[in-house]
Amino acid sequence: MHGAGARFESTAMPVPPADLAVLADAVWRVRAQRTLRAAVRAAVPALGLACVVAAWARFAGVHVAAAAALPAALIAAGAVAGALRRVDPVEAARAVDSHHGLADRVGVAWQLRQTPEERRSPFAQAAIDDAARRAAGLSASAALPWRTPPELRVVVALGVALVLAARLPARRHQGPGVPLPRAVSTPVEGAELPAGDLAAAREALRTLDVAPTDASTQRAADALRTLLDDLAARRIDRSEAFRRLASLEASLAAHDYDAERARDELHRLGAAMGDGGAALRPLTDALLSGDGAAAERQLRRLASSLRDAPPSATERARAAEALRRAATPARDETEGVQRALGSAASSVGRDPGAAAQDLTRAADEAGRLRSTQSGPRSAEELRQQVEQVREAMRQGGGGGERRERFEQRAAGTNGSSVAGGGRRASVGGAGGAGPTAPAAVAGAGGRRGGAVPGAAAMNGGNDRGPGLAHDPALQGEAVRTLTSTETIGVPGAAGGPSRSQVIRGAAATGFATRTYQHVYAPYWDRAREVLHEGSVPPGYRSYVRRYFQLIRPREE
Amino acid sequence: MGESPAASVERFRADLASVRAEVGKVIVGHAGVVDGVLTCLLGGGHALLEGVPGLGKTLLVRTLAQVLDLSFARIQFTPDLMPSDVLGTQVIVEDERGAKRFEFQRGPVFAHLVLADEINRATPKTQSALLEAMQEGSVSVARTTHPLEAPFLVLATQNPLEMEGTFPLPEAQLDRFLLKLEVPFPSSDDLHAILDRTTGDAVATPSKVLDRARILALREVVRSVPVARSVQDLAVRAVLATHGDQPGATPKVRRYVRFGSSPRGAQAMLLAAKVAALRDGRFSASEDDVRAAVHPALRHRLILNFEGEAEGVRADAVLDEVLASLQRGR
Repeated sequence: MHGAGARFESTAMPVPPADLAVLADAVWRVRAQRTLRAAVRAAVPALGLACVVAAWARFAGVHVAAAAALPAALIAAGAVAGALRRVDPVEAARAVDSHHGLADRVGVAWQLRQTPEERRSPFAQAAIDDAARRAAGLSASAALPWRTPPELRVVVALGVALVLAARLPARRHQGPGVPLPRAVSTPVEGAELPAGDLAAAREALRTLDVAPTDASTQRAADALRTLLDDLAARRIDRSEAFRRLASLEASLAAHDYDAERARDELHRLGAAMGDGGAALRPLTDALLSGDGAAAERQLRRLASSLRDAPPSATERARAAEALRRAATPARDETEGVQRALGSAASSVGRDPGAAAQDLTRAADEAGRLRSTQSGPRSAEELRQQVEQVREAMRQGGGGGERRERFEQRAAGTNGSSVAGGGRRASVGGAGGAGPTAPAAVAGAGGRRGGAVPGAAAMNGGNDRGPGLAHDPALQGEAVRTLTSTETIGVPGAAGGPSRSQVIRGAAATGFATRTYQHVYAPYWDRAREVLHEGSVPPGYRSYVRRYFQLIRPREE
Repeated sequence: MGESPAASVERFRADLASVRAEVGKVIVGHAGVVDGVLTCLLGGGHALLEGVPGLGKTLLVRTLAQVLDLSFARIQFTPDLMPSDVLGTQVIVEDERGAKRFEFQRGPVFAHLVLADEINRATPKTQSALLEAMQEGSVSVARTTHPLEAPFLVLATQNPLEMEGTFPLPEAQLDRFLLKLEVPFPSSDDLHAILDRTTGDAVATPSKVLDRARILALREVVRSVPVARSVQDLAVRAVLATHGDQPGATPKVRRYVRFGSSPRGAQAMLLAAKVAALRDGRFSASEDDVRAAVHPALRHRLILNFEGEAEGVRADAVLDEVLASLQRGR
């Protein structure tokens, strides 16, 4: 102590004496506060970790109590560390002195007490006694009230999160060694479309000529293209494939309806126009035919004649009357044409030039109708393609054999090694549809009237051209004959020209001097012309197309 | 001492209260200055008073001398003041037989209370004449040392204005002063009281309440007050914090202070804290006592650097930051 020759040397931290009980209480409270604070601080990362562990435990099916052991240990360790941390009694005494206004009496007294009593100065002892007297009855709780650790809010939030994590739906725990049931996924049993049919359909779509204005047909073509992609990837089953095909057919039928309706409306216009004189007669005929293209041509011709050589006033008056009749009443489908015709009717008597302009406008409107009507051709082709795909799908179960047969034909395989299959009577006739096939194709046909094994006879017996007619013996419709059919098996017979014989025979007649691409193209062009002419019954056109698709030149 | 600490403290409080009461009869306000001067007197140090003219600095010292029944001398420092004018000089005296001899004629410094008025107006040579007297309590003239009778208290005043032609006290001499007390301008109420007392016909006459022996006894009581390590540690940290090269130095100290306080600053703080504890009736000094002594004990011991001087930084502002950095418990 200063002045008494004794100074307090703070080395150890003895327990505060009984007369400074408030200091002992204060020390205990400081230690408890630190313990709580340390535990709460440790709880922040511990509970954060516990949340993660609990969520993982629920997901992995591990028991949560085991997962929470580590965080609990962390909190306990934090609390122990806080409890064991050294508490300086001077700090606790400061709190007491400050709160009770003792001007450091308790703290100083506690420090002065560390000096042995015999070495204490009278003033030091007086200071100790004074502090003990004033500290008697004081409470440390007022000086050191319990304070909530600031991190407690975070701890509470993390605790709530932990509870929520623990209540997550857990995967059912399986005992060790018991394998968890595997998720069973039922793969889509993809519908099968023979590769040849698929390629043929795609080729047909590629060559399909859809008018830019025919959006509905274009959409249908896109839908079919998507369907083919799905079939190729086997992404859809047969039910879905047939559903989409039915939807496509319905949309194409609606397209037909629109075109037919436009045709009827044009016919109605022609009927309403009636006799408009010699100048209007070609136009009237075109309208009556319902042909939009013809009507467009005639309208332009009429406009040109009005400009170049206007008819007489009488004829123009007559024409005006006819045009007026055609202009009313207006209908939705032909509204544009009728409006232009009405305008022309008003002006043809006094201003042929203006009437010519009106007629040109009417021709433009008729051109739009023509585009609607031109749709049916592509729509019809598309519908046929849809039908082919559906038919191929329908026969998909046994399609492998059939496809193989087609491919062999396309590749010119010697039929001698192939077990042919044919149909008696009608099938034999159908087989006759391809006399232009290479002579090497054998064993796939049959002969009318008998189950005779085919032996390279496809090119014989039919001198009426490729697919131009039916067997006259057939009765009924082309695709619905009255003749009962029976599937028979025709085993391929050994014999026929071998590959080497074919090559030698070709050498005798001369090897091909043109590439297959150049041979195929004119044949296919001619086939299309025939198809468009309508000579081939609708039910058989698909076979022609499929055949040519199968024999089309390949990339390699 | 003979009496118990409790009695000593009680008497100390009573004596100090009586002194303050008597001084208060003449001096209006300035309680802090009075306490500071008494602290210096009882702590065995000297006080430097700084304030503008007319605030009662001289009157305070004179009144204190009257109350304490001590000898008083006032030295008006001027540029032509010589050291001998302060310390005394050898004069030739002739006895009745006609023999002549040198005799030391004591100067004003030999009084118990010495008021060195406007000390910064004297030359450094004269200022330094006070050094030995203030520090050693003795005066050496002509190879003869003349002890000064205790208690010896120098109260120097400085005028912060009119610095033209002055000689600022050197650092070594400033360090001799226990406390530097700033004499503030009186408040409105104090001014009224001053006018009432000084413009009427009533003249206040303070009584002597303490004698020299009692003052010396009180000094012993002050030295008996114990200081705990935590309290002393605070004083040490305060001094260290005024040195820019120390870890506890504050930013202002690092920027504006050229030299910090000497150990005398810590001594001054502890002595002032002890006096404050006794004045408050306590047996030991507290940390708050030390904090209260930081400014008066250290403000004249900080030597500002050129940047601090150029920017007009006050030592008190630096000490405010030091005080704020001295958190309890560290």
